[in-house]
Amino acid sequence: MRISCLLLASALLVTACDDGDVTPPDDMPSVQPAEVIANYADLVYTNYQDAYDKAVAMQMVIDAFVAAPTASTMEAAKRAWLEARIPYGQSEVFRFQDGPIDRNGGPEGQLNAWPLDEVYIDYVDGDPTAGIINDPTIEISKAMLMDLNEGAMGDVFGQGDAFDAEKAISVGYHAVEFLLWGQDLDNAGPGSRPYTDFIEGGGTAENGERRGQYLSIVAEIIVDDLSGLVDEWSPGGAYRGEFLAMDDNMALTKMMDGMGILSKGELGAERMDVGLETLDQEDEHSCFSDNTHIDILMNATGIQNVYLGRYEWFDGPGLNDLIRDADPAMADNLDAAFVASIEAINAMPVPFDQAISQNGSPGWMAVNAAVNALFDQADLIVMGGAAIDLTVGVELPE
Amino acid sequence: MNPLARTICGFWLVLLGSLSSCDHALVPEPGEELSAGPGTIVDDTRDAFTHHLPGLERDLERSFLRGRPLFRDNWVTAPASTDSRDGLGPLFNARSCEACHVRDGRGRPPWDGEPFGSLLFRLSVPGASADEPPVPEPTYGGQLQPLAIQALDGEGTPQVTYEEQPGQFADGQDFSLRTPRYTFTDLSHGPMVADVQVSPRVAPALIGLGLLEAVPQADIEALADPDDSDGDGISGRANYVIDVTSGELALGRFGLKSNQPTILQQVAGAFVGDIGITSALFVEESCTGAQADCGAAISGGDPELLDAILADVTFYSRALAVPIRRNWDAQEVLRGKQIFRDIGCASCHVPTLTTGDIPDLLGFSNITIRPYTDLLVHDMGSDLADDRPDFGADGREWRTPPLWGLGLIEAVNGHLYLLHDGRARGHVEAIMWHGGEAEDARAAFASLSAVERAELVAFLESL
Repeated sequence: MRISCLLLASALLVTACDDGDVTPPDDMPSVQPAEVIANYADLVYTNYQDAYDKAVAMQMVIDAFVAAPTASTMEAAKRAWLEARIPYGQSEVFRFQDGPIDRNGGPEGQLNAWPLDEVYIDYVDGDPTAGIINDPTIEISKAMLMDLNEGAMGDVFGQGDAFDAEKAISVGYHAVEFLLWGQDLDNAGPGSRPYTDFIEGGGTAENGERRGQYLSIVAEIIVDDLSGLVDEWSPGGAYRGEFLAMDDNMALTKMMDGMGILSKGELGAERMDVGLETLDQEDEHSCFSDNTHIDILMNATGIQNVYLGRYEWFDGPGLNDLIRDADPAMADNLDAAFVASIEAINAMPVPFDQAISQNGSPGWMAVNAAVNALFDQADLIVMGGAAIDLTVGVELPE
Repeated sequence: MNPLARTICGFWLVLLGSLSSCDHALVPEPGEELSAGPGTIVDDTRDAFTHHLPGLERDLERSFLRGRPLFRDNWVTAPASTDSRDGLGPLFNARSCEACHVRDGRGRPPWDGEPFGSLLFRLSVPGASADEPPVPEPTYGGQLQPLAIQALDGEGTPQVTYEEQPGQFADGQDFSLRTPRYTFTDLSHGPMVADVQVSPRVAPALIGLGLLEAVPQADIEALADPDDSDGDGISGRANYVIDVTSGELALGRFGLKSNQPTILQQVAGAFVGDIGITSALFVEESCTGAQADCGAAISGGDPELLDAILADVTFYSRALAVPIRRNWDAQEVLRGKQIFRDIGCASCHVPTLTTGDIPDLLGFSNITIRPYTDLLVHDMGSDLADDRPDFGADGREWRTPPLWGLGLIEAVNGHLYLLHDGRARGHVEAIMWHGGEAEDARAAFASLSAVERAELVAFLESL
């Protein structure tokens, strides 16, 4: 037996030499897990830093708008919000792994909770005096708004059973969105809140000054929360240290859990399929601004980023390299799945809200195809994890 | 394997076999660790109750995963842009299903200083017959809703104090039971009527519900013995309640008094009662004539809940899988299981049932499940009585709760407060509260040795 093994090995060696093949043999990995993990930490840091920078820019523009509300300063504030959503959307793949964004006490619920309780914040169609803004007995301060917010997902799971049902979602990106765009009552376009809502006695709504204070403070809380995330992941940061000290398989599983759960449970099911099923135009993530198609694309891009180990201008060893070393065919399938889901998302008509509103319409079918592409991709992420001996989750948007 | 190795191996196998037979070791039943047969999943972490039945087709998987965020997300005040998600309240107990069924698990009474969350109070006044729903309390309706949308006040603030009652097992070891006393302050519309009946209810875990729904009615009725004709002291009655879809009486299976016939109706009932969301099944908000501000509040639609959402949340609630048992083959656990049978627990906590046909989940049709319940209501004695009849269940009767997943409540929800109002702090206290039909079983437990009691608890923890 030993002899035949030796013969076989020599034969293989000879074959390799004969072919003049210069690629390393199969058992020589092109990349080590530790490199992929370290690159991921850099990627997360880079992404959060970008989200923070864009949020700081948004805050400055919002403060300028609040100081001098005009149609053009309001437009600038809206553009800054749209810009800020691009890095944040890509960063959502860092959720669902007990990391700083949504572990106990994490700011996810304060940053991005949805659906927003509009009436809890401001007037709405049919209720002109509703909300914190129109209740002068409530002081509008950072501490007060943070205290009044109940961050849905973040809080339910972060605080476990100590969930506080007396609070509603009142801060975060979608609160800024609501204050800038207003309710989307127009089936053909986004909300159209007039800038005069922010002028005391401007004629379109009471409490213009309080509305401006509220908007400024919500922007400030977003910046604070992102600053905390940047710190956690920065070189020398607390969570980065914890993450890099983990067993390789645990760290890799966390990375892939974020991909799998965002792909299937959160993006595919919650953010797209529920709207398809309810046929409700506004059952969409960014319902005031009609920016949902970008949210979806950025979430999907974030998933692909982690796989490839890249972010915008940043690039390094990714999970794709590890999986390719173990199972090239699986890597081919995954490469194709990420491309297919992004293509399917790009094929959805814009705006998303009109695409989903009629069952069986071409738009509805396109969104349905994108949901299936994300589900297929999630199933492949699980298989890709198995190829490098990991057990990956896809179901729990928590 | 060479002949020598084979001989040695065979010798050891024979030796092992003879050792275990000399020892009278207990052996598990084949497959008993799979509490829900093919509907069992492997997870003993805090997520143990959150998985769907294995192997769902894509369409059903999508329905389940749509159901989850709808179960978890907050409902918002009407009018909101997210039209399909508004209509909260005006009066409510929680903004989401998840708020009480955290991680699809079990609720509890509040800790010191906390507001009441996942323990609610049903209210009624006497007068209903056994085939009628309870008559609501005239001012506050059928349930106390402590919270309200911004413009309104909640109905009142519940408070609880506990009174300790020490006792001793036959072997002299001490235990203590705590009796809750509830009071209600800040009542928004004055005092409740003097003859109000109050029933505290903790949110139960949701695992395996679709399988329990599929147990044929005749099988459950066959377990009933309303007049105790076999003389074992255990009566077991089916509770027939109104199915609002048909308007006819139907066998109740869900709710702490078997007061709901289907998961659909249970879910729709919780939407309207707990969150204030009306649906095709329950079109009226729970405002009474005395609560004009409640009746005048802006509605989130007519009804508020889209049928599609009700369908997905119902499927979600049907399709949660049951976690596999741990240590089911340990001798201590197997001895505990033997005691569980010997002292009569299994008379009501019936170990095995069989599902019938489930048209949309054929893989789970006609399978053996081990929920440890008969889904019947039993007289549990005066100490546990809520003195509030609910259809055919009288004021002393409660449904036998399923015990599958019992050993994972602590992992999932971080507590082990048991019984209908969470008064029991763990398995031992829960057993010692049993009375009425379960009095003999309780007395037998109290007479066990400390080792035997620990074995029984080890069995419960393995579920």
